[in-house]
Amino acid sequence: MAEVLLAVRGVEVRFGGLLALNAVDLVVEAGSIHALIGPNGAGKTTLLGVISGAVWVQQGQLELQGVDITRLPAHRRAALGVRRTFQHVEIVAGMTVFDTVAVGAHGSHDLPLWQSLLATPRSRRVEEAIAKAAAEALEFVGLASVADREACTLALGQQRLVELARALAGRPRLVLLDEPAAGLNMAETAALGELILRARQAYGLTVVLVEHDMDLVMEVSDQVTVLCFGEVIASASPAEVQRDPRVVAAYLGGST
Amino acid sequence: MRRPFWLQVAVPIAVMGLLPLVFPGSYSLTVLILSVLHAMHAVGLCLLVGHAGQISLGHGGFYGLAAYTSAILSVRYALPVEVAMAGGVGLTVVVAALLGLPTLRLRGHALAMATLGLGIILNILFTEAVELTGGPSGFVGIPRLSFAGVVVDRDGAVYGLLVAVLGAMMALATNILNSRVGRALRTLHGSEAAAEAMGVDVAQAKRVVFVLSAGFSALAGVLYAHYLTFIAPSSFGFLFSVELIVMVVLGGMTSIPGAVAGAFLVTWLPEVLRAFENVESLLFGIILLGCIRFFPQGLAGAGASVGRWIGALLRCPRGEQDRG
Repeated sequence: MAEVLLAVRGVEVRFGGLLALNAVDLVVEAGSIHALIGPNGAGKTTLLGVISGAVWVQQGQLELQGVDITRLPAHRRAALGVRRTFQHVEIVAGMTVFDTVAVGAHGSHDLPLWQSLLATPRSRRVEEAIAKAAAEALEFVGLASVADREACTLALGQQRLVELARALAGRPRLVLLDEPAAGLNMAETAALGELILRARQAYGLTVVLVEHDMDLVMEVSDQVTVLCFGEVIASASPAEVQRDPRVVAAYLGGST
Repeated sequence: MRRPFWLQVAVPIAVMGLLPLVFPGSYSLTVLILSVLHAMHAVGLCLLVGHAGQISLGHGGFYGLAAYTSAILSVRYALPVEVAMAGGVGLTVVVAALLGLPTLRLRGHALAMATLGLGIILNILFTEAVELTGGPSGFVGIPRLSFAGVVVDRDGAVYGLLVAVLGAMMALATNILNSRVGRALRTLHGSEAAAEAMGVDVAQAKRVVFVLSAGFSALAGVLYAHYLTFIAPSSFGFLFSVELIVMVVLGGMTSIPGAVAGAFLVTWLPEVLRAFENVESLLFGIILLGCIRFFPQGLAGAGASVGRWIGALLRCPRGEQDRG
């Protein structure tokens, strides 16, 4: 068995009276693409938030490469190489595509403020490294030509690619993709699937993918975990999951 | 988007250097000095309000706290002016840091509320601690600006000194905006979720820019006290804090030179309008409304339009020659 990059154990999340995640376990192998599927409200995005640090757990534990990150805030996890994209794109109005993507490299550098304030040689080296990483990421997703455009003026499909590039600019170990294909047409979705596979290769990524588009999930993922009402009901290879009667009943039934 | 240094700092400083020649006379110089002092606040608030999206209604209070601290240290404790000024700035920065520590963990308008409260408390302190501050009638007899025994008492010299300090502040602010910190501030303004997911320590970034802007206001405060040699609580009230925000908004929110221009406009206008006596405030309001109506991007946006227009005018003949 390959090395485990991320282990989620017995995680419980409550929002008031609602039990959003109940005793959830998730093991993500290094270098794998691990899909999270399930009906709306199953807790997929919540689990992604738990991993990124946006949602705090009431119980359970998270380990990234054997390091306990349960109590680390989101920005500290980013410094350890975790990046994410958002279901509803979180792109800031008034920022160029380049600046938006460059923010992705923020957590990869630890530089005291005064260095930036005085634009010291060291801060300039960091800025150059950030610019290089951002340019590479933009080149990788094919948006280099719109680098100077305002990001929020792009079409949704391109905004999703901006978010992917922003995640890649941090040269992460683990990328969490929250419904990257939502709102994309079939051609765009197919291209995205290819891009995710290429990104894994080029950046040495491990990916956790929340997605409703089953064609995309089946095409790219190595492992699929199925959530239903905040509980894991199956975790197996894509082919096995498709045959699992409980999964078909809970989620796939209607569409296949 | 990189902000070129010459446009952001050098040109505005050169323009400010020329202003006393365009508007000669001691009265004009006094107004110019006040404008530069106000611009120091505007530069800091441009970072805090325009970029990080955190509203402060207490920077007038920081201005006063630094001014009074320096006045008290230099008069009541007979400390050298430089030491008193350092004390004023230091205390203000510490107070801002203490306020920012708990407040900036919160989202939304927590900072606006907290700074509003602090501003009011400080103003009450300036007014009521009569033995220390001189109370409502003010604090008189503050020693003039001096450095290592050299007294800066000519207004022209004061103006030059202030423009140099403002230039340094603008340079620092431009450095910040051209760096990862500037991008982090703009990102957390639009989406705290995205900022923290990319590794930005949101609370820390907000705190840092808040303390920095308070530091700029404090420096303006101590310079003000030792330039005027007299201070009164009415200069540091809530309305002044709001006026500072108006300067940044008028300047175009995100532009450093715009914020400076906004400070000059808001300081000059009432002086110009004084001739209209009864309708002075009315005209002031109408002009501000007009600015927002016709230059929604502020003075910086208007400046950029004029720049493009001139650029197009210069390019046009050449373009026609090419075609011919």
